[in-house]
Amino acid sequence: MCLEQVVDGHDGGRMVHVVSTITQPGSEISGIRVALDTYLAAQGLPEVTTVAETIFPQSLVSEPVRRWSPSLSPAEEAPILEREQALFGTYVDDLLELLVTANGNHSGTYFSRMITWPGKVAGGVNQIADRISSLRNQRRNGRSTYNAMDIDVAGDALSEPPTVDPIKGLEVYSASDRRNRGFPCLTHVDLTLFEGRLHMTAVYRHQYLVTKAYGNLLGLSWLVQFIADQSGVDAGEIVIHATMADAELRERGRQRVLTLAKSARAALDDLGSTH
Amino acid sequence: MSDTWNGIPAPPLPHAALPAPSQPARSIYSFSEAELVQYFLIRLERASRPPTIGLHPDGSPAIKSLIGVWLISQVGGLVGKKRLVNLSDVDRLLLRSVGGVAHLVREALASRQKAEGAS
Repeated sequence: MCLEQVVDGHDGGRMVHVVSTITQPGSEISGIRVALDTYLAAQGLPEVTTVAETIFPQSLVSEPVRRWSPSLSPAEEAPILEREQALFGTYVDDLLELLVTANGNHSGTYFSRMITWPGKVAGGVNQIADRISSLRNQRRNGRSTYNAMDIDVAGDALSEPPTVDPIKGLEVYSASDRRNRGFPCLTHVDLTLFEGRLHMTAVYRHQYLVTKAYGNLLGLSWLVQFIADQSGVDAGEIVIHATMADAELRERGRQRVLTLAKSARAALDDLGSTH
Repeated sequence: MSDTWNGIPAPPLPHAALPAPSQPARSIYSFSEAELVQYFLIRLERASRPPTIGLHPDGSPAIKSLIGVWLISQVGGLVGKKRLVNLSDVDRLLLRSVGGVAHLVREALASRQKAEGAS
């Protein structure tokens, strides 16, 4: 539990280089989820699902009919392709123009930056579709290990508007860049196919452990599961590297954050005692 | 309320480039909040997104907020204004129920109608 560790960190409950791992993406401990959603609702803050759906809009995606495989016929493959096209189409064509009117979304949502880079309007680069396509090619070629895939969310080094090669997959500030960054907190997603399992590493430059972290982890879990299903591989582990993790003591109050951490710990302990 | 818009020719869209969600038989501007609730439930059913997370305290089906935004977008598509509301100005809790979204949409439509009448 990162939160327990970071509460006692320096500078109002902050720590650098906090790494957390999800070994089973998508699985949750209901007691922790309930404790957090109860706290968020009482504070008038967006609940876990709302945060998660900024990374992956799970409520818009249909259940997979079957997993993609290189051996499928075109007819068998069609509903799988339609699944992703329906998701991308609904998000970009129906929702995006409305979503960017929300506070915090004016530069696009995390998901829009992944499917129509740079994320504010339709017609941008669909990094997720490209990565799924790349993974399918690896499968067609009989490879189960491949690690040259990234999803760029921040694009700090890129010129605006994007020039010749807008997606380089390399996350470096350009030498001339003097802008301070408030958004996005999630800057980069790395995908690694290893022995038939798709693993993910996500880098946050500032991770809010109370209001956002759980939703972030859930959204990333849904994302890796979707890409894995559409590519015919298994979802593997997720590692999140927060270059700055923030227990939000100043905004939420130390006592409230400690109470929340204790509730979550109790839910975890209850689970342990029943197994 | 019955599904009276099924198969009945719709009036032309104000903006031809917009996608065409299911068209009601009469102007969406004339819908009451209760009728909007019914319309939304049909839209959700047809899109295979039926509400499944129980009832909201307002008595209508609870939904995830992204689904609430999607419902607004469907009406926005009908009236040719994708930004039917400014989400920054919206009470986020209204997006958590079909009834809340119907209330938001009814107000937005009334406001839009008033503005068009004044111009």
